[in-house]
Amino acid sequence: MVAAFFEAYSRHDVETMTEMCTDNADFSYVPYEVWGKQRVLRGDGKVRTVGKVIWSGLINSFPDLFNVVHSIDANDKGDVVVMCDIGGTQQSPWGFAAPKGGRFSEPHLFIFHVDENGLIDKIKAYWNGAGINRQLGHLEVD
Amino acid sequence: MTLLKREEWQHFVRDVDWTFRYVDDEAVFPEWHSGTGKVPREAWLSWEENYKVTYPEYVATQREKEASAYAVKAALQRSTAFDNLDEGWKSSTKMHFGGVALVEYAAVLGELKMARFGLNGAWRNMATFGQLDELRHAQITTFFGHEFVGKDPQYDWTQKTFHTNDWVPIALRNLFDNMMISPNVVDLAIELPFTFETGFTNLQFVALSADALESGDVNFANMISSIQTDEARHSQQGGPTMEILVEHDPVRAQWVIDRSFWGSARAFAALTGPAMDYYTPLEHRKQSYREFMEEWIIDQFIHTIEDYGLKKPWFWDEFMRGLDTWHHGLHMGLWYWRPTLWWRPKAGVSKDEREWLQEKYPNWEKVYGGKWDTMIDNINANNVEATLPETLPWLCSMCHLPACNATQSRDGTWRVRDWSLSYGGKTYHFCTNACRQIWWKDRDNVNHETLIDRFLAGHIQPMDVGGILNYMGMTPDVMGDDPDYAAWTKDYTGRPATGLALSTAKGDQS
Repeated sequence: MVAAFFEAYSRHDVETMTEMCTDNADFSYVPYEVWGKQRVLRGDGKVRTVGKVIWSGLINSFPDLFNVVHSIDANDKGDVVVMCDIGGTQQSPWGFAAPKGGRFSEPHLFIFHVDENGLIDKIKAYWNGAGINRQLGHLEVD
Repeated sequence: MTLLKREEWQHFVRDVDWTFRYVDDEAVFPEWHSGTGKVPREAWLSWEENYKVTYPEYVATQREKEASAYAVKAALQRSTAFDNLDEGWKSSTKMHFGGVALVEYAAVLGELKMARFGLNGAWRNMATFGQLDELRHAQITTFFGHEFVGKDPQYDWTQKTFHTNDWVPIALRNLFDNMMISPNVVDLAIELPFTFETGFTNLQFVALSADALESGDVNFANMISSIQTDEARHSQQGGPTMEILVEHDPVRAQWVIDRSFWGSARAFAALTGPAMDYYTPLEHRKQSYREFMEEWIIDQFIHTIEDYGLKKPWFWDEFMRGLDTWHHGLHMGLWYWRPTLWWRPKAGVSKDEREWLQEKYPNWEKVYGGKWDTMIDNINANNVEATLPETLPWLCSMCHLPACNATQSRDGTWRVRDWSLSYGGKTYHFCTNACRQIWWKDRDNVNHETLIDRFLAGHIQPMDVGGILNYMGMTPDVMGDDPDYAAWTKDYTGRPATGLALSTAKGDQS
């Protein structure tokens, strides 16, 4: 299931990615933040609300977004750990990074939980945000 | 069988909430849309509107208002009242129709968002009525404006304005996208019903209604008062939302109010200031724009936010000084850039009018008098061409209005400042310090490219005034012009000319 998820991600098929998750699937992209004064939007919520928005926005900003899966490990309790690289070439603003045509590729760690029906009910992701920003030419620190 | 009285059943239906089991609360009210933030989820259970309404009552009330609004309109259709209206007042209505009709539709979307993601059942119910109200406002404003298209093609912009790239709708889109479309519903409730409607438009509608009756436009006055009574009902969504937010996150409440107050004030300076101080015939001016703002907006709004335990916005001194200058500079810009408008701006600077302006704004002659003298002298020399634009002014990246706000230097002179900011390899320019600071603090917000950004990026071709007007969708039959140059220049004929852009000099240059 998780391998199929990343195949759908490669095809930029957000609907299929979403269909592979339960209606109440939790979503947490830990490094993701969009800052405003008194209003910080974090990548926390549900796949069908926050998750779809982030995936769609990411694909929109990086039309050639790709992923390379290096390893998938799973246990009997439904936990799946994926190590992969995700990257692409920026064409539109992404968060605070203005489009400069930069290309990024950065290791990502995904932790999934798959339920007894074979659907994903939890996605958590970690990556080095500073590494991505450096590659995109966004060097501001605030 | 007897029917229960409304009072006996209303409380059962106004607040319907339950605990979800198939999905959890975060799935139904996602943080990005509902925006509870630091407010505990259960705190929203205490949300309560002051004036409760049920659907049958709503329909009955609205039907009566619809019938009376259209009845007055039908009666006036058979009269010549429109033909006798002052051109300045007609300009005020064109500005209003074009600038407001489809904003009401955007407000439908804002209310629908609260109707779906509001964090209390009563709030969602109130927002449902609110979106019906706003839909009605979009319809009635469009319909009234449409009535005059046969008499004056500029009224076609009632429907057309927001489908063009004119600089005015770009500025308003930037404001209202940030206020109505992109925020979470908590911020939306504070920005739209609380700050914009309660703080500004409801009161403006009352003032416009009074001005309309004085100017003889019964139709417009009738339409506006019909809308205002709806606004007063659904704008109460802001109050209980504010109460809860202030209790749990006062810093956020303060910021949301500050930001939306400033944006509203900037838009009002452009839309309401010229209408009150220049377009309304002198004999019918009840209050100057500053007097209106001080009495209705400032006093009442400040008392309201202080009642909630909040403070005056941090930019208050800058705002108060702006009441004496913003709209005069904008009026001059609107007049000078009149081909870009869908109304006919009156310059409104005859001797009598200037005396009134000087009385109300003691620095008026010092800051603006000389510039208008230059315009007047050119027109009296039959050189109207010298008073037409040849390029674009700089537009603020935050409010999209021309950067034309003069402030006083320590040496007593008045100058327009450049409030610039370098960020991400680009230099942005702002009309005021507060616009710059708000842009900076919330720079991830929706921000449309200004017209001049588009011009400099090469989107407008050819890069001349004709190309600009074409990009804006401005056609010759609608293009704005002064309705009566003689009305304000005849007082000055025969005087020695200074600052004249002589046609002979221009001939030499070419």
